[in-house]
Amino acid sequence: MKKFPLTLDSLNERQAATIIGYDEEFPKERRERFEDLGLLPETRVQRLHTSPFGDPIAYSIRETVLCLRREDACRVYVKKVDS
Amino acid sequence: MSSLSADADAIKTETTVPKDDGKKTIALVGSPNCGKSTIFNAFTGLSQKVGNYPGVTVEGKDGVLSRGEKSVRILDLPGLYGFTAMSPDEAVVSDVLSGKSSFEKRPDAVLFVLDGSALHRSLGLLASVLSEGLPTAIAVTMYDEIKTRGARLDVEKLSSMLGVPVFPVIGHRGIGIDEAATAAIAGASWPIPQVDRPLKTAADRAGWSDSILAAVYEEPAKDTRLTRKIDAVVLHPIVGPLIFFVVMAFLFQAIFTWAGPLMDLFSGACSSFGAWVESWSPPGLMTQLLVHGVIDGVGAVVVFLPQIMILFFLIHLLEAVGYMSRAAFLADRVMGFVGLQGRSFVALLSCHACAVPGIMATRSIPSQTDRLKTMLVAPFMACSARLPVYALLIGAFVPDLPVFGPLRSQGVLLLALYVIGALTAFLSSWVLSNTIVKGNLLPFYMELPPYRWPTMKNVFLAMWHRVSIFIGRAGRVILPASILLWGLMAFPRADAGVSPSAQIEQSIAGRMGKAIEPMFAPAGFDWRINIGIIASLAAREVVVSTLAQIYGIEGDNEDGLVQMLKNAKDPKTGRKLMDFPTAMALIAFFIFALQCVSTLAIMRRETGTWKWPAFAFAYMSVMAWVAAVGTYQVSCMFLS
Repeated sequence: MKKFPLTLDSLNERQAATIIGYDEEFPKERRERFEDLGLLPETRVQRLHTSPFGDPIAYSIRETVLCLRREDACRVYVKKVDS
Repeated sequence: MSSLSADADAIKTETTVPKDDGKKTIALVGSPNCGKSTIFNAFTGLSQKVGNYPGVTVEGKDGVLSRGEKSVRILDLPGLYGFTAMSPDEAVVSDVLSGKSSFEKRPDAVLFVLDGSALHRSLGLLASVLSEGLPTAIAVTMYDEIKTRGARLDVEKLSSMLGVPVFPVIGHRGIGIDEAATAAIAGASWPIPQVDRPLKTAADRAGWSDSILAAVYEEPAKDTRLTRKIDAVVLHPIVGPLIFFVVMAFLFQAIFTWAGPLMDLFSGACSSFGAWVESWSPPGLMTQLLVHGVIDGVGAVVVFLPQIMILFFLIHLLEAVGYMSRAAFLADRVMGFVGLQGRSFVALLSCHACAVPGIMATRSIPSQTDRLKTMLVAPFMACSARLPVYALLIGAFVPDLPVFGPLRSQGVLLLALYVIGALTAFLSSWVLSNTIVKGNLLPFYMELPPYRWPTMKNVFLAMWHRVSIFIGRAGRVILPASILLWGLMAFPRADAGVSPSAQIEQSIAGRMGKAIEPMFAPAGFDWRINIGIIASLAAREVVVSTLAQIYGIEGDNEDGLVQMLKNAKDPKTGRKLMDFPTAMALIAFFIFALQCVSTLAIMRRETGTWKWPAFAFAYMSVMAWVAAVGTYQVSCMFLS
């Protein structure tokens, strides 16, 4: 893994990406909850809406739209793909 | 006060143990927003009961489904995303399904509600449920939405792959409900599903969902969902907040202004009834108790109903349409600064009308710690019961001078009181977040469900649940507390023929007011004002009528009260009883004090323990005392 991998919160609006993993220091409980919500490796996500102050951010994950705060989204590593 | 590390510890509550009446129990399981309530409401109608699981503030509902002679008990378990059991909701569902729960027997079968608009995620949850080994059937909800987006779900193939019956359902049109209900009557004989591989991790379950969907589901690549188009406007950086303010202003207007006439009607009906009873029953203590204790006490409970009904009708309507989570999305950052979340906004806004419905509205906040913080700071919001107190004291003692343009000093001060209340709530939440209600184990996450046409039956039933909980649980505390407060002022009885003010002076409340005089003397309060403060526990505005009684003034029109406050003199010394510093100190006291038994009662009900209302009462009283003393001393300094 690169030293500074791309994180979920740093995607541009409408940018699609696939999840590649989690920050190892991200608490296990939070990671498990995100996995239950469908944030699993190789899953395609797309950044949709941003709240007025830049946080939280809404993502499209499979058939649902999920809002996450930056503090958690920055622990999810992604790789850009074509929209 | 112990520090709270885990969500599950935050809030505890009372017990409801269901009776065993020999009926088979079918549990409804599914994720939030999956259409479970529609099925539950269609199955059970008005036979349903809301209860709380002991030890946690998780609400469970159950009801009876009848078909001819036969009936089964339907248990509506809380919606959940996973079985990792990190939140109280999940722990409850997991314990009930595995038979580990000590207060709910293991259900005889599960009707799993598969969200047709989120099939992949729902199947992941289903995988966890199947491994519990209970007889199972599946209801696929939002079946019409699958077709709307041009997709195709092979229900028969899904049924044969999973080895359990599958019922497609379109809840809001009632399609498929009957078939599912008829099957649920004999739910105990549903097959026990076999899972062909271990599904321990989220990745295993996602893989399993993929393999199922690959076989039974086809979706066109192009996304044509209407929700995206609506969200482009509703969540637009500029238009979005504008819509938000319009919706919130409407909500506020509805509970603040529209509820008013209904509240007057309800409390007017109660006092007319009281007057009617007084007119024919023999004069004496029993009549006094009945009229001023019991009937006024009932009035103190029913007066809340209009606000609760209007607020929860609108909240559940906005929730059903899908707007509530958008509003929370827009407000989240601002609330997040002080350790709250977007959903706290609506609850705190409602508190400007009344903290009772506001605290009840915190139930939509999924994080237990955020919810607790919202409840603990809610009473600071300037509620409508403070308005008459503020208006009277400002009207009597603050000179009406022009400040800037059309603004005048009285209006500016009143506005400032609202702002101070809200700022105090935010500041307190920030302090609580960094001291005793620390941290969240779970991340913040919120789904933006597709916009949907609301099912009015669900909205009305949800509103009715709030009303019945309020009457049943909070009413049980508010009524006796009102009677007790009446008793404090009515006993011991003075000799016949003395004035009402003399009666109050020698009553228990009067003696208490005198006993605490040294404590409130630095704020300029004498025993008369102290009695007013004690009486205002019934409702803050009662301080006005109580002071009027003590000062020996009859009638309650606004001008009369203003003159009364200005001119009231101590009959012995001739000294004025209330002056500018005292009035400002009294206002300062009411900004902070949790002077309301109804709020304490609802906080007890919603947190499940007296610990949190006691804590809130204590810290707010200390703040109120400090503010009152500080205001009095500073005002005196400036005036001398």
